[in-house]
Amino acid sequence: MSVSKATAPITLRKSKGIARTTSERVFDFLNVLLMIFLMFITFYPFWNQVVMSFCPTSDLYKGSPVLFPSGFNPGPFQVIFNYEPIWIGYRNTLFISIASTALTVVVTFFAAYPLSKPDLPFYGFFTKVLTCTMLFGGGLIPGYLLIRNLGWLNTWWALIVPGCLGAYNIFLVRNYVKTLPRELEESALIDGAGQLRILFQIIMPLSLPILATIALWKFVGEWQSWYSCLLYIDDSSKQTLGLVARKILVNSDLQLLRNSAMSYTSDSTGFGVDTKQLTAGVIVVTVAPMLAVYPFFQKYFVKGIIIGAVKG
Amino acid sequence: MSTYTYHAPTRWESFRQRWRKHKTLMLFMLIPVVYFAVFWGYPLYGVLIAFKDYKILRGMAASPWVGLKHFQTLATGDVMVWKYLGNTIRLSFLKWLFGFPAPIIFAILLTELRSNKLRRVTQTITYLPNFLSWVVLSGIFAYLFSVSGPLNFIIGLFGVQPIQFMADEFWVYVMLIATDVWKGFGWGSIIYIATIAGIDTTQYEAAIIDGASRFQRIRYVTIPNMIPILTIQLVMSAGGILGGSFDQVFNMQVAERVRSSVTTLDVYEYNLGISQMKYSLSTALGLTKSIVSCAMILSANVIARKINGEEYTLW
Repeated sequence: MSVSKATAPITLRKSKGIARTTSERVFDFLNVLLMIFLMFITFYPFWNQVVMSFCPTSDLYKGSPVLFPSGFNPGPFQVIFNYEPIWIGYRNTLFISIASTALTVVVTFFAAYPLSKPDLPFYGFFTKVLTCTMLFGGGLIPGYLLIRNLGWLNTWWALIVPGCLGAYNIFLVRNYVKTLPRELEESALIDGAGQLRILFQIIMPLSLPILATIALWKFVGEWQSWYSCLLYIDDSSKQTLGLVARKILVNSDLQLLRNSAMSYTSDSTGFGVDTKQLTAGVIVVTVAPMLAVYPFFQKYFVKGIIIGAVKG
Repeated sequence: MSTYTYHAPTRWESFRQRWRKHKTLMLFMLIPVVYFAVFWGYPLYGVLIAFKDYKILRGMAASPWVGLKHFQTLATGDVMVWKYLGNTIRLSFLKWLFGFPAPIIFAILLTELRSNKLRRVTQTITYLPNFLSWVVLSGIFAYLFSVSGPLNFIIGLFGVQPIQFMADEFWVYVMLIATDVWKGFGWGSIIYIATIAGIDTTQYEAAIIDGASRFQRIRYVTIPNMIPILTIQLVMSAGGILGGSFDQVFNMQVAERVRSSVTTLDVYEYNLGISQMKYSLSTALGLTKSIVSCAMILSANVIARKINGEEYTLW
């Protein structure tokens, strides 16, 4: 299986000249219905939250779930954007996502390139150990104690560095680099180029597709991450958006948020602020940046998996 | 060379040659070596905590050895462990039962679609849930599955009483599995779609010439070609039976009274270690889980090799 085949647009499998039996027509029809249904149940939960976040509060109590808003209610978003921790979360998460993505891409590339040379000393050893890191590890508590012993508790180091290297990503990049033609390097060597030059001026530009994929996956993962923050960060000024969201959505830590809402009184036109709307707004605010760019980057995500699966 | 006659390089000489050739690269390798030594090796050493009576202020060296006491506590003295083990296996098994076939069937149906446009749009939309964290999804589903929420509204249209998805021992499992499959079926199908796309079209043409119907083509061409990838996926999923649901179970807002029916071992490990600060006990639990998972994935690999031959295994 070559990569190009797997990433080429999927073409129809049967020639147009073959007649369809009745049962095949029924199947095709039901298939289309099924797909539409699946799209609906995938999309509706988001749509529902988005609508709830700016519909008039009275919409929520009409008895049937909200499909379309009957008006525009700025209340929930006003409350949310007045809520300081959201902005703190945004700022922190932006920084951490960018920093950890940059670190991950660079470090993974540096680790993968040497491993693409089978005659590297200890090649077998490295590969075996790397595979072991995928199978088992120290666990939750030893990891926590490590961070503590490093003095990284309550710092951003704890969020950025652990996890920047992973065996899966290293193998992904390694396998990609392995498919690059050796003649490129060899002719560069003959021309007198040093190892560093080859790495940066030849291999890196050619590896951009896989590096971009890794960057994308990492960024999307880091944007919503909350677990490391929960474990290692106490300082509320250092919280990530994911943790802020978790406190509100899971812990129902709505008190502070509600206090912000107090100053926003509802009037008789129904433009109030219901708790459900606040949580919906928080969800929208957390996820919106990602959803906005998702359609554009979707094909790169998919390419990454295919490269990994087909070649790995 | 150590002698003056020609000979093929000895192993040591070859080693030196390769080292000299890749001097700079070995310098680069320092990065992963240091990283894994610190972030993988050191915690591995830290696993010894499971065999000690570790107190955080005393440190590792000053904490006394207690051998297998913590494992014994878990096995005999702790009632909840076995319940949580049951929960974990039940949840993993059910998730596998519904979640393993779903992407496969979806992939096959997707590739049988006649409209390319519909296929692409469906793919874009169904890949989406995979990218959302369970924190966000917990907020969404807390509303959707609530007693006064949309799902119960639809059920109500059929005259059925509202179901407490978040508070009923049985339905909470339905909810957990449904949401997990919902989240993963689209993204999980990618690998199968790629496999199907790579199937030799001449096989289909031969089948058509032999008079195979659409369904027969699926049964006799598509599916057999997917067996390799299915085996690999199966092997990989075998190791995950004791874990994998932490994010979901930890964040989903199930009612307090069903909490103990859904808590899995990894959530318990977290509770023991981080909430209750019973570091040694938690590490012991984690270590046991690790060993069992590892053993399972290795056995699955061996079985896969016996059935299908070398190429269909992980290594």
